This record gives sequence, structure tokens and C-alpha cells, in this order.
Amino acid sequence: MSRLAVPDEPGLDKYSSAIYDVCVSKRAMQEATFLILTALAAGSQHGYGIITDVQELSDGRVRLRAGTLYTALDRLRADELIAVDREEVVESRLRRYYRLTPKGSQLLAAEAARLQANAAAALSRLDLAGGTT
Amino acid sequence: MRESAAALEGRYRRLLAWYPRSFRREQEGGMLTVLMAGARPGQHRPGLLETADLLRSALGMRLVLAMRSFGPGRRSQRWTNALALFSVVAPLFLVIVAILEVAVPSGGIGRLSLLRKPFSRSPAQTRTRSLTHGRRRMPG
Repeated sequence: MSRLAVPDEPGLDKYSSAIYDVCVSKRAMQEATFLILTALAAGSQHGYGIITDVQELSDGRVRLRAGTLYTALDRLRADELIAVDREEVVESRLRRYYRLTPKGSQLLAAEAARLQANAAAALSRLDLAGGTT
Repeated sequence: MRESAAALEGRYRRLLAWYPRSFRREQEGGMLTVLMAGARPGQHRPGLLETADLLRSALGMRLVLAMRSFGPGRRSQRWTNALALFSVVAPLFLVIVAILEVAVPSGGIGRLSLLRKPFSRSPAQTRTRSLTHGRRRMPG
């Protein structure tokens, strides 16, 4: 009931219906997930490769720990956003390579577009505010 | 160097044992590769944050599996309550295990007995002291 009294806030739900209905999730993607998918966008990578790549992509800000990475990989695989590409054994250590699925690259593209639109809106408004001072 | 790497790998394996078996069967090898690749040279014990991260991840997966096995429909309230209780108690337990794992290495019992020593000594000391007191007084 109280919901009706509150005036409609444009923008809060708009983008989610515009872009996200095509995709899996209705929530904004977590940054770690976004960076993992970005790390796989150019080609397949194994676990440690993803960790170092995500660190590079985020300018050292996001350092994934193994538990966090594998929880994310497990979920992304269940959602069919990534898939196992191949396995290699290097110096008697197993390396499992992951790649983006078409569904995964579609979701990443949509999320990137959403972030870009948000960033553009923020920058243009800051620009306006800067002009008045 | 090699010995410390073997010790570290053994400790990582013990932590990975917290993951559900189905996950471990598939991912243990790759995860060990990642963990060992991220280790500093000469490191022989998992870091505290790393340990906590692994346990949280393992517990999360177990919870997801448990939820799935309950099915999409709502079963009895008792199961929901049990799950809620488990989700509070289990992390506490895991944190304690994690702290013990990191803070108290293989000689854990030895360290705990250090704490007990003063208590076990003091009654004996007071007894001998009272005996000598008695002896001193006897001739006087």
C-alpha cells in the first residue's frame, strides 16, 4: 500500500527491464563476476590465469582468492555463462581452461552497455555541475 | 623448499576436504594448482584470510546442495529451522577450526599443555612449602 504513495522513481527499475529481460539475472552483476567474464572474453583461461588477469584488469584492486573464484566459476557454469574448454597437465599440475559461452558473452555485453550508460550519465551530470561553479 | 611445499599442499588438501565430494572430485586438482601457484616461496601454511575464504566457499556450496536436496517445494518447518540453525552454527565452527588450523600447527596439544602447567605445579609447590615451614618450626 505504501508503495503506491511513493512517487515513481524513474531509472531504478527501468534499465533492468530494458536490458535484463533478455538475460538471466535481474540484479546488477557483481564486480568480481563482471571481471571474471571479462577475463574470459578474449579467450579461454585457466584458474590462476583468471586471477592474475582480473588483478590486472582492475589495476590491482580486485585480488580473487581461490575459494571466491571457484564459487563464482561453479555458479557461472551452472548458469551456462561459461564452460570448460579443455584440460592440460603442466609440471604434473592440472589446469582446467574455461571459456565464455554465447549466453555468457551476451550477458557481459549487456552489462557492459548498462555500466557504460550509467557512467556516461554520471559524467555528463558532473560536467553540468562543474560548469556552474 | 620442497618439504614446505609438500606440507603446504597437505594443508590445502585438508581444507579442500570441506567441499562437497561431487565438487572435489571435479575441481580439487585445478584448485590445488591455483592455490600452489599463488603461494609465496617457502610458504608452508595457508594464510588466515585464504583459509577463511576457502571455508566460506566450501560451506556455501554445501548449503546450496542441502537446499537443493530439500527440493523447490516447502517441506516441514522443522527442516527450515534446522537449516537456519546450521547456517549460524556451522560458520562459527568453521571459523574456530580455521583459527586452530592457522594459529596452532601440528604441536597444538603441546601448546595447550603449556597453559596447564602453572595450575598443576602450584598445589605441589604450596605443599612442599608448608612442609618446610613445619620442619623449621619443629626444632624451635
